[in-house]
Amino acid sequence: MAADAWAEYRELLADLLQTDDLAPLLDRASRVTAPAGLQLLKDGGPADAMYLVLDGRLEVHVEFGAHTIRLGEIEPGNWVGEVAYYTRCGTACSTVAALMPSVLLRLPFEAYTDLIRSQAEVACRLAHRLIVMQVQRLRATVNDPVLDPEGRLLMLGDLSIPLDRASRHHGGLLEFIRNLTGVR
Amino acid sequence: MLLKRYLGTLPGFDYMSDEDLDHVASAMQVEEYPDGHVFLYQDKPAHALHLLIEGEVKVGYYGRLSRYYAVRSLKPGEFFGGLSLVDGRPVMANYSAEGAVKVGSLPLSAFLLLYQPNSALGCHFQHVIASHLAMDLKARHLALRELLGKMYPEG
Repeated sequence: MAADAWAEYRELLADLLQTDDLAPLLDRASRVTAPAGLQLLKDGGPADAMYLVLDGRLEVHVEFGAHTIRLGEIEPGNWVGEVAYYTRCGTACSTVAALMPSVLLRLPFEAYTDLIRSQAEVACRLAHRLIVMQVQRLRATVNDPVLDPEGRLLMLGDLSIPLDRASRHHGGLLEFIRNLTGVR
Repeated sequence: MLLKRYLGTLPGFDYMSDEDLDHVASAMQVEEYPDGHVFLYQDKPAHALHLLIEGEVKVGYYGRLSRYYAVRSLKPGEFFGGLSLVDGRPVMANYSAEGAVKVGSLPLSAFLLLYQPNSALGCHFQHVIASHLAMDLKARHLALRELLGKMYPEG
């Protein structure tokens, strides 16, 4: 894909990965445009790539037959599909669809594996970002969904990390100790 | 069984070198615990990353009116406690031994040293933690699907 295909998102990507060296990621990824309603992942269906939201918004559900629990929305700067990669199951554990016209970075699983093996530093930054996102989702996805006024089951937590918090990088040992002790 | 060899079979460890595995294995303390031993308490911080090696660990939490909810059972090869170590916030559930268990524990101090992205080992360890959290998220979604199944058994 031509390098300028990413031009308007380079700043966001550099901020997320905390580096201007985006080539290792972008050389392995493709840009995808998703119209509203397009299903990127189907709960229980095959999954072979993860997606980073560059623009737009996605919606996440867990399904059982015709019934669903709405887990929340995914904003720009957040990934989906990483659970299928890291659990090595090859199937999605939720349904993810575009809530509005969205632009996504698609990274096939095999390309991510190649990134880990050949570009460890970039993969490490990406993995750390995925960890922070998963922590957010685990904290938000509580065990007791609530019914909304229309009778739909949903979660009240926020699945996404807002962009203004997205660029927080790993602060090292000192930051860890500060977090653990609550001392700033 | 050698802990190092066992670690090498677990998700996320496949990117680690032999030397990396040595470092992680040597930092872990493996012990046997009796039925009912509580490893992590709800609303308290974790002080170690635990790996269930043999037996079963049950996960449950106290909800409204202190009612106890059984969430799931962990099987050998599953980690627990990582979420609290990563974000420095309290554990969300109780984790206790169901029968006698063997558990490997990585103390907080060792976890903090390993969970640094400034080294090759630290980078590899990030994938271990990402795998552990992904397993937890998958289990959480599975529990929610089972909840739907109980509410709407007809599908």
